[in-house]
Amino acid sequence: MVRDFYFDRVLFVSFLVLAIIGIIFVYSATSVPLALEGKDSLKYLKREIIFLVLGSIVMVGAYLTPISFWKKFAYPSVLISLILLVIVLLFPANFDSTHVKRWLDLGFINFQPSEFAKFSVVLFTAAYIGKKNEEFLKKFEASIAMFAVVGILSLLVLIEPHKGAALYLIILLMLIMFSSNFRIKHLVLLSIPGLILFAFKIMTSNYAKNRIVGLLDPEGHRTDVGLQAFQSILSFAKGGLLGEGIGTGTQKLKYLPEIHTDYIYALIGEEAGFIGSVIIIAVFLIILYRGVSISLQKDDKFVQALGVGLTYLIVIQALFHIMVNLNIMPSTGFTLPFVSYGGSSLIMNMAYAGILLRISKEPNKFNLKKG
Amino acid sequence: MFKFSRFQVVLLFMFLLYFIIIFRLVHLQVIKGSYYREISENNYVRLFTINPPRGKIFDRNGVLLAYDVPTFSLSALPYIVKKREDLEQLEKNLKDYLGIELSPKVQESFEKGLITKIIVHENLTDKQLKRFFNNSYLFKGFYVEVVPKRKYTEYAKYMPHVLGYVGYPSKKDLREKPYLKPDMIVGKSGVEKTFDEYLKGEPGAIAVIVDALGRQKKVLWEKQAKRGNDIYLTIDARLQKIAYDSFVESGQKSGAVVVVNPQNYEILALLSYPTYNIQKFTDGLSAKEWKKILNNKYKPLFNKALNGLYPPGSIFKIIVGAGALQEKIITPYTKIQSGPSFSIGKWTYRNWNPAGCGEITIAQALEMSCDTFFYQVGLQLGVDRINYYTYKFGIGEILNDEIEKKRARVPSPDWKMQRLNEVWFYGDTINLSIGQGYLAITPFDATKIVVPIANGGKVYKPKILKAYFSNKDQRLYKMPDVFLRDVDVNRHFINVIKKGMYLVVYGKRGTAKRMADAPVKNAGKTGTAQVYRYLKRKQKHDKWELKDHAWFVDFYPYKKPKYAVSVFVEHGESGGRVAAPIVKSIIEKSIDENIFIPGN
Repeated sequence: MVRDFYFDRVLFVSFLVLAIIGIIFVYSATSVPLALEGKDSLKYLKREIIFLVLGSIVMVGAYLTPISFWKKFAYPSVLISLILLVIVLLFPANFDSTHVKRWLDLGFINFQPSEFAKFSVVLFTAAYIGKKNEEFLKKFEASIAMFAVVGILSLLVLIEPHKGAALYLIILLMLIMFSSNFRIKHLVLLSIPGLILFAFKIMTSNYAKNRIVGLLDPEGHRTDVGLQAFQSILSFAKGGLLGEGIGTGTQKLKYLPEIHTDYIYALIGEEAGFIGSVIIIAVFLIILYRGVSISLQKDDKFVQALGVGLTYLIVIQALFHIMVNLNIMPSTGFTLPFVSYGGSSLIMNMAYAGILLRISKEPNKFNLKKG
Repeated sequence: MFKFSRFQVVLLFMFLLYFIIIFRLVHLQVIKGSYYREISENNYVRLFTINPPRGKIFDRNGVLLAYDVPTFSLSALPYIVKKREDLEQLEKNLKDYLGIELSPKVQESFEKGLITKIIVHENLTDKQLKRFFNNSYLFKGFYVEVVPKRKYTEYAKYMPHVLGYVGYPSKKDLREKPYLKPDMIVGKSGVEKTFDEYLKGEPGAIAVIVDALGRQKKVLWEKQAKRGNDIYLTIDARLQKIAYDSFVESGQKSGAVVVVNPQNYEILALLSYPTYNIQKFTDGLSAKEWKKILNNKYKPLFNKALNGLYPPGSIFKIIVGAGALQEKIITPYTKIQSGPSFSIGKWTYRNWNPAGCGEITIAQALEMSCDTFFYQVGLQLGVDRINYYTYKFGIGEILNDEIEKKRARVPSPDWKMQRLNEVWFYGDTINLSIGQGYLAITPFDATKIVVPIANGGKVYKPKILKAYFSNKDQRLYKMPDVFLRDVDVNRHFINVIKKGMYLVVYGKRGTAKRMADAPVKNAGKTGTAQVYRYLKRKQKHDKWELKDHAWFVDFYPYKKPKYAVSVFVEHGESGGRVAAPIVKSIIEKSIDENIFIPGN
């Protein structure tokens, strides 16, 4: 069988659909507000298209990269993440002079090292699972090692502060570990200190507390801490079953801040209604199902873990974004993969897509048996 | 190897989460949709724009010409008014308490219950304000807004055409500039329009939670409006007033005066007469007042100085003479026999003075404005070379599109073929030589003839904006003088023309001898342009519309010119008798008021 340029069509089409939806809604979210300010209404659309072109190049590159490269790159990637996370604490890009240190200014793009940290967590866990035998993974040391490495990364992200992303790294790790042969007992035991630290952090931060108050009673706090949450709910309500029509929403007119990044799902809810919102969910479910089933067919344990890890990475992020938008979760900055505006997240996601498509091309267990 | 059971748990968990999400979506969008929609309509964040004060306009010496004052407007949100008020009762209340009657347009938007706010009444008095606030429970959905209004000072009334006026953007403006809002004030004409970018400032916005009664509950955020930048014109308000007064005293009905500095082409005064009341125009005219202005045959709204095209007549001889010298058709000493008429073929062209001129040089020809001299010289020079120098002087060209909107009509054989489908005759060249025929220029263009003569042959970019004060940078930016080119006439020849213009005023047979007793040595050129080519010169026509146009261009002091003036009197009959005395009056008055000190 010639599998030189084989890739999973369903996965590919899913990514493509998301990217196209992204272009449409980024334009919808940004064009009118820009025009109202007398600026170039195509500014964000142009940039998004440039990012998409760059991302496509990255995707093709990732697809052409042999899986063995990622195996070799796994441990160094953790080191790179560490260095980047330290650099961002020392030299953050000045973003409206907030005290938040999340971005590195690379000139043409503002890069979030935490984006890369997510990737390195997946690479690291996959490499670790791939190298060690199953008996070893059952030992407590194995779980400790995993938690130690990811814990340090998570801690650095927590200092930025970016609590949502820090928690996300831990949840990602636990899901991957849970899916492989680690002991559940160990997992529970090791996550307790993390949970305590988080609870402490949230209790001592007014900001985080406000977010939770906003979550619990957005309507009662719609003028202050619940503003974003409440406006987001209103977006969905205004959309109804069929939506107000793409481009015709009004929530983007400064009612709902960050609508083109952290709240783009609410925009889709407003303009494309229940139907549009469900379509987005369906696409991510397809990616989840397809990504996991393709990975599990593979022979190599590293490949399996990598595929599953990347699928989780994309799908959990989408889950978080959607849950924040629907006020099921306190608001924290999560973009919707492939859809939200943003250079570094789009390019990273395109890289994951490339790797997943590459994995779909790797030999199956079934093929090996036959051959 | 992965355990399948665990995967099933993870997948199940995630699918479960997604179903929670879908459940939530159904809840929000389908079941509770109308509940939240109700909230979003009744209790909602509203954005209000705040119009910034426009920048002030000053003259060159810092004399205030235009500024903004805050006024109060009664505005309303129609959708609330419709829901909460009985419209008939409301109309009665508005009339009884505030003395306000609703316009049909406002009434209509109340009936329709529009979302966007409307202005119900402008310029609330203190009494109206007090009454509104004391009885605000009667007026649900109404609120008071602070709106800046344009005010013009006493000096501004002498230059309505220069300043222009402001108003709400037209539909076209709104379409072309999406950042404009219907209730923003923009410049509509004059410098208000040209320099709108400097003057307009940046509108602010305020996001307010508005409750179901339209009351502003809480300010969410506010973006301060940024006031516009002040600008300083090159206009000297005192000189502008003098030009105005001099024109009024001449008793003439219609015309234009332009005074510039020939050394850098700053416009010091620019009058189009008659003027109109700039304040009334901005505040809004009644239909009757509009009609009166529109029906005025002297066209007060039309800026004749910049937009009126008229045959220049003899002032154009300056350019023909300069071109003939430069092209060696004549020397400064060449004497040409110039009789009472000049014939070519079967056509005869008469001199304005039936006595003829005799054997004269170019300087003398200018002195007595001898037509037959210029017929001969112009014919030898030819239309192409005449046009070459015309364009060199800047006529037929827009030297600064911030000021000029209309290009002079400079006829050529091609132009005539295209426009009239006729060939160019010698007669056309002969007419052109004395500034008649198809040639038409604006009174501002007339300064282009005299400025290069006064400054020794240089063409500058005309200037009306002297400086602006940037609020952002907190500093004054001065506009530089821009030298464009030389007119391509030898300095020596320019001096010959200058001498000819001197003789116009001081020569024995000069056509502007009335200028000789002006308190400063000056030089000029008269022009009396026929309006209808086929009327005979001698024929007396009493109708104003048929009388000749009167022109006079002048510069002073003769040695080191500081001022160049062009005066145009529409149907004024005689350049020397009517237009020149206006210049003399300007000189005398500006010396009286110490604007200009001769000998300095």
